[in-house]
Amino acid sequence: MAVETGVMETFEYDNRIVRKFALATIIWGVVGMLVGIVIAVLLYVPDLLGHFPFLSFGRLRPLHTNAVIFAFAGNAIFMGVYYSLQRLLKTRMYSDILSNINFWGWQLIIVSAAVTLPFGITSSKEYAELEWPIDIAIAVIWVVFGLNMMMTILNRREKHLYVAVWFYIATFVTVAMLHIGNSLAIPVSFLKSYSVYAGVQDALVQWWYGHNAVAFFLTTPFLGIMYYFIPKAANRPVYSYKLSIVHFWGLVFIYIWAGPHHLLYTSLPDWAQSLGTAFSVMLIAPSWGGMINGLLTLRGAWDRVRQDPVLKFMVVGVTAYGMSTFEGPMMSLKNVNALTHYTDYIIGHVHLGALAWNGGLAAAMLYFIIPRLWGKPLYSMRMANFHFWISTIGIVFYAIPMYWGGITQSLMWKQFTAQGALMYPNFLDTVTQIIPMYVIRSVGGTLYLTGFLVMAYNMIKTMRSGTFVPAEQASAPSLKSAMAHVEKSKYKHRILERKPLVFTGLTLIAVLVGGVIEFVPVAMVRSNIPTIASVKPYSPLELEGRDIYIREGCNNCHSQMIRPFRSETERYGEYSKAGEFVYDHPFLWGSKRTGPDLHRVGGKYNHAWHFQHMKDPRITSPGSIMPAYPWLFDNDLDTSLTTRKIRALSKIGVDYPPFYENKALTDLNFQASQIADALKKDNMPVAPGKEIVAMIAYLQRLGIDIKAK
Amino acid sequence: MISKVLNDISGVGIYPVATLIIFFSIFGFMLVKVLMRKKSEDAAMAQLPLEDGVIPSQEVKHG
Repeated sequence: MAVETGVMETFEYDNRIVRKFALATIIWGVVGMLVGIVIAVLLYVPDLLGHFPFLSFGRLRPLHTNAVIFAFAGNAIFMGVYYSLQRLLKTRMYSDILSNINFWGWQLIIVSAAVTLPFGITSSKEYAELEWPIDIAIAVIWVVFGLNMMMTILNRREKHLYVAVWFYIATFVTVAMLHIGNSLAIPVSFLKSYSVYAGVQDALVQWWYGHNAVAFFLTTPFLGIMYYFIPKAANRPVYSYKLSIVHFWGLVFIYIWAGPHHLLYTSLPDWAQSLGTAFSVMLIAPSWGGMINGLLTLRGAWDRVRQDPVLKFMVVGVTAYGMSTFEGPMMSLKNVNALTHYTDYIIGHVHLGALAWNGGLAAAMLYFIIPRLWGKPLYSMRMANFHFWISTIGIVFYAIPMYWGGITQSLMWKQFTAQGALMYPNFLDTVTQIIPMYVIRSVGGTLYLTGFLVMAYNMIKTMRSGTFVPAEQASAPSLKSAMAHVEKSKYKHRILERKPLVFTGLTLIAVLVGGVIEFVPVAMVRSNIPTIASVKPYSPLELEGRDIYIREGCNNCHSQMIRPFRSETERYGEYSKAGEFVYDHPFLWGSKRTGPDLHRVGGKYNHAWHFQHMKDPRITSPGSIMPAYPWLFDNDLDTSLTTRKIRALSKIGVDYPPFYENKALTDLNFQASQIADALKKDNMPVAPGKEIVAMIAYLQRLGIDIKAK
Repeated sequence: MISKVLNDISGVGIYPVATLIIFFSIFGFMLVKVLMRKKSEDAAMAQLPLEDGVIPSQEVKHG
């Protein structure tokens, strides 16, 4: 606690909470990246882990993304914020209890994710897969973090809020808004819910969230970290403070509008697509302003970059941020998007940002913080240099094969013969073509993880050689006495900085303006979509099959959105219409085609084909990299929730007849026995109560409602 | 098809216009304010990360 000594007060910075988050960053980083390498290898050795449901690609992929985003990057953010916020505000965190609730609550959420996702408990919405009880926990813990931060700001000893703090505030406010907005769902049971939004509406809300999760979870907090740690490490102030203000407001205002660029050529309104593109291109300006500001801070100090691992990782990270933020707007142009969307190019783009920007800044922070927390210089500079080079090379080995493979595959999808037929009508040909790229990518990932492990060892040795400093003593005048000496400023912005709550409100308005304007017409879409008379709700068996599809994470590799290109309508059939998705809670459009689009797969093959394909994809499709799903043939379909599912969906607007839930199980059993009978005729006997029957029912329903008879 | 839906929303044409006006007016206001700031103030603000009040005896030397 602070002891007042005249106008000066002495106080302590809490290093314990920073240590906790630093250790968690390292541990979860290893876990998340390891899972990433495993799923990278599964793409060319699909049977690598045997046939365990909880180790299949569709379930592990969300585990990887959640682990690296929320566990690794999330803990790194908290580490950076808890370290820098105290020092920028010249005060200890408001409450050690809130700090610890933030830490342990966050770890508990991560563990919950690690337990539920492999067991197929998922909402299917990308980067928001966790089920509703965990969503509520996230909201609570996030508010605890925000409360602790805002109270610390109110109790500060520094009258001005440095630009890094603005970025932290924007992060808190916007992530809270996004998370709550996107996670609204109607619970069916403790671990099952349906998104309250359907189809087009759900897609827009999801990508409004998904895009801005990148913006306000993986960008703004790291920009705050950049604005604090680069000046600290270089021991010189930021190049242009004016530019940092323009950077902040420009980024916060523009980013929120750009979400629709994830949905180009889909059933989203054209004007929304164009707006997304326009704002994405504008986004280059603040992004590059920030990058230039970070790099120019090192003017006259480039010699130090050669020696200091903190600055090395910062420089490569900030440069990669610049490359990613150029690449993003380019991919928002419809002609470029037509080529890159649904391909591995996106995976390359994302990992350039994740590995170099987020991973690089996390490493830079660790190299900065750990020696200071333990009062000893870094154990080995050579190891740090090794880490830097192997991770940089790893990023190159990761990104280039993904770019190469993505473009190759996309061009193959679109290639026609002189006679006007698809050159590669078999989707699998376009997959086997890029397998070597998948192999090189996994090598790149392994190099990156190797560097990370060397860093972890270096950190442990540094910790062991020093003594942990739990509290760092500091002194500063109290804010009241400091304020007394300052006459009223005529500049409004400085007043804003002194009124953090007003500032927070303005930030919220800034992000809401874009959100609301996009949102209002979309909210009206639901009631205004011209109903396609032939589109009916899923039958109870199809609904159960759809839930299995969600459980197995099929949407991680298969899209259900045929774009209006000739190359797609030739391959898959009629392009997708908005009216076809009005009963899809949640939407399952997907964002990546590791396998073909499935929107018109219904009726394309007979039941027997699906039966064999799910048992062993290599039987029907030699060379396929899809995993087998033998457990669907053993598991009995759980129908204990069917009635409640129908009731829940009826409540959110699915047109089942009144009291249909009472009849649902009868219909379910009838349809299941029909499919089982058909399979029996093809010498594939199966009990109608098995999960595979429901899965076939769902797949056979896909896209048939508007098929011409 | 979906553009027909939006056409049914009364006055939907005002949305893009309104948003652009809101965006550019607020952004323009901010830009003017920023450019009016005194250099000395900016310099003081930029120093904030370098002045964390840590008592010197507590600081660790890093080579």
